[in-house]
Amino acid sequence: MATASSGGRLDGGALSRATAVRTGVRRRAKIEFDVLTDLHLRVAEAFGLAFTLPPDLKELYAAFGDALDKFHDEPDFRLPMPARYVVDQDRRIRAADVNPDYTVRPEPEDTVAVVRRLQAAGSKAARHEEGRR
Amino acid sequence: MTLQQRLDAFKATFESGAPPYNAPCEAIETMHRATEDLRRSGLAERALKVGDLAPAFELTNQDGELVRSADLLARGPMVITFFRGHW
Repeated sequence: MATASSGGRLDGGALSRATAVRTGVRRRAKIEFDVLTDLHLRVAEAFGLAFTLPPDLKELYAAFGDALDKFHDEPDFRLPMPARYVVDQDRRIRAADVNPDYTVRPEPEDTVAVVRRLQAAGSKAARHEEGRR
Repeated sequence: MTLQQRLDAFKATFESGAPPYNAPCEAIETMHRATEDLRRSGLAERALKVGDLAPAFELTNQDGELVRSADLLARGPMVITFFRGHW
């Protein structure tokens, strides 16, 4: 499993701060998979997830202090839509949950069920392949 | 409780303006408007979907090591979650 978040500057102190946040999130949430940094949203763009915040929300977030333009090195205040994808070994997307409302997230159990199905199908195919040899 | 029920409970507390967040009404309205605009933009419908080919990627992990999607996929199906991070 992998998680991609936006941001993290490569120069100066912001990267170490961003990395510290990621390490902290990982420890607190007791997650064992990698937390990846998608600097400048390149992968989010490739999945079609990147968007620019409207001006009034930029202002609001800027008022919170440590704004995402500096922290993520995103002068245009861009973010990815939250999304979860399950990708099969042939790179085909088998499940996709994308929601413009960041307060709605898919249930982890549903994602795990898709992975289990793919794993079962994969080992069945492997056994079939072995039987043909 | 499902994840979404927990998120909904948090959202209800946050949007009530109660401590410790003390979110002002106008801030919540701005957030709602932005979400509604994003929904109306149709961006989510244009994102990659089931049946599409996932782009290959190389990204650094929490230890600064390069992680390649091809290496992950060689081990089995891959789950990738995009979250907005912190700032």
